[in-house]
Amino acid sequence: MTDRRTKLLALVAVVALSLFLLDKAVSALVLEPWTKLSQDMTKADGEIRKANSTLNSEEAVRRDWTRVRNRLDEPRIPDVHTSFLTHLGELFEKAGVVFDVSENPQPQQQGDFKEYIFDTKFKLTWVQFVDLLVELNNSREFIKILRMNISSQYEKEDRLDVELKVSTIELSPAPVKAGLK
Amino acid sequence: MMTAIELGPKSLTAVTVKVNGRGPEIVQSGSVRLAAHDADSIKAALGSTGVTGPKGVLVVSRGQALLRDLELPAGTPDELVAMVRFQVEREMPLPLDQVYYSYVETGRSDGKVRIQVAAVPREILDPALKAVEAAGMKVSGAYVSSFGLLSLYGKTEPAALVEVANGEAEILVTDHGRMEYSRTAPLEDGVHADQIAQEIRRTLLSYGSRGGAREIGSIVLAGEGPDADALASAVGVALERSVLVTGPGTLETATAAGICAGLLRGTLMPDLLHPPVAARKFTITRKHRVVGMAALILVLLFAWSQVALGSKRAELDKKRQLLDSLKPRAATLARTQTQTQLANQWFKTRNVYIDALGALRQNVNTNSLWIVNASFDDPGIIRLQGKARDDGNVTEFVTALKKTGKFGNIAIERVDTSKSESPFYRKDFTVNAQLAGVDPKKKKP
Repeated sequence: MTDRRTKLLALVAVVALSLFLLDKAVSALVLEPWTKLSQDMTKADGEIRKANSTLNSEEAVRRDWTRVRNRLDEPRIPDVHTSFLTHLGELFEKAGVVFDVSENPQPQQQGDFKEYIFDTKFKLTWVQFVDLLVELNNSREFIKILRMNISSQYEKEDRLDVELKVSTIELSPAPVKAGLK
Repeated sequence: MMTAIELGPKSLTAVTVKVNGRGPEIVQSGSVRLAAHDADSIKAALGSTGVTGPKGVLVVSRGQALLRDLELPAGTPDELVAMVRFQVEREMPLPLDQVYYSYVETGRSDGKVRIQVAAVPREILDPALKAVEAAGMKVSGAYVSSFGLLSLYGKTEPAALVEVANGEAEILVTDHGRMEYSRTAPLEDGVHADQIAQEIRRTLLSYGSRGGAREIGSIVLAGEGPDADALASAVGVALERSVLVTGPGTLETATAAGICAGLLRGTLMPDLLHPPVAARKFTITRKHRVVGMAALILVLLFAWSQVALGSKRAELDKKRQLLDSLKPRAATLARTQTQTQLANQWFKTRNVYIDALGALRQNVNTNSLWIVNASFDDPGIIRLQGKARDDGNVTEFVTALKKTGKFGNIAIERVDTSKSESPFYRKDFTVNAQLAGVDPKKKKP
């Protein structure tokens, strides 16, 4: 009886051990590599889809960039910041506004662009302000309002005190870092 | 061809036999005096006989061997091995580890099997083996001379077979091809026909006294040639009956030749160096087949899985190669797109505040609310400070702005009682807003 029981227990132990080893072997040699490969495939598919999606818009992106690039490449004599100041003066002149301007000493790098920032202060009426906004909107130059502070006095209803910070850009690709493609 | 060597007390007999269409034929034979049982003497003696060859069998004379007949219950060869071993252990005068023994089955009847066992003490056979092998001839087997004698006769009728060699006579009674009785007698005074005839008579008497023994029809002397014929004739005269001779070989070489001829014909003889052993034969059972099939299925599944994995890896490699070719182009294009968007902030989408200004202008009710200061900061953050007649006017103003959809988030920061002495606007307020679609936390490119 004891022998039979011992044999049975030994058999159960051997079967359990065999199943355990088989499970480990199948897991290590088949399931885990399969799962890893499936994950890699999914990841690769996603990246390919994303790359294709980007590349599908290649024509439009190139076209838009060409337009921007052509405009950026237009000559601005004698240099960007002088040219821009002249243009800004023309805009204010059209709106009939006298302005004070100060320039940030160092241009800042923004992506592949060099940004020139100018602070202006002026007083004007609502009508002039609307005219100025129209001129800014219609400008063919690269001009961006970074900050605009408008103050109005109840007592002088038609007078606005405006502080305007504007900037323009110049194409100046940042140097590629070593090791990056 | 086969070579047999028999070492007598003072002689060496060597025979090389081949079997052709006419039966066994001696190629080379000889019997010479042996000075000593050492390698050099044996080598010299072999050279004298002219017998050469890389290997041969050793013939042990009947006088040095122990023969036993056993009758055992019929069983498988493996069972017989065990039973014979048990019986030999009981019947041999020496312990098993001190003898070479082997056996052959000589017949079966009534659930019994007849076994003939031959045994030779190791102290006799080992020196002989060592000496012959040292002399340059590999020993492939060792046989008792009686089986050579039996092989020479080759008939089933009862007969007395006589060998006279090496200073002794062996008389063997055979019936139905089996060795029924065997004994030796020393011939100390040389070969005398009368003495040999006397020993034959004694043998026949002794054999005849056994129950069931058939009458011996013929007496056969091993050997051919003039000496054998003369001896057979003399013994026949002494016995008053005819004595036949049989070959091949002479009186001295016939038994060794018989061993060779028997082995070449395929006759079973007990080889003392290679006794039957219990061989564990592997038999394929149903259980083995099931286990084998399961193992085969597992192996096939594993192989299939590896093939599938290999195929998937190859597919992944292809995709990676494709990705490697697409990625740089896509990265360049994405960078171009980003730069275009960035540039457009200075060109196409630069006046994002104009809509907000319009919305403000349309929703300010100057009868109840006055905006003192409005600041617009990149990216799309708006701060409004003003005066209002009461809290409700500020709330209405904010609600109206929300409805325009131009602002993503707009909230009243504070509404305080005005410190100015204006009787009309009693509240100062601050409202913070963000343009719709602008994330203030997003870093500028």
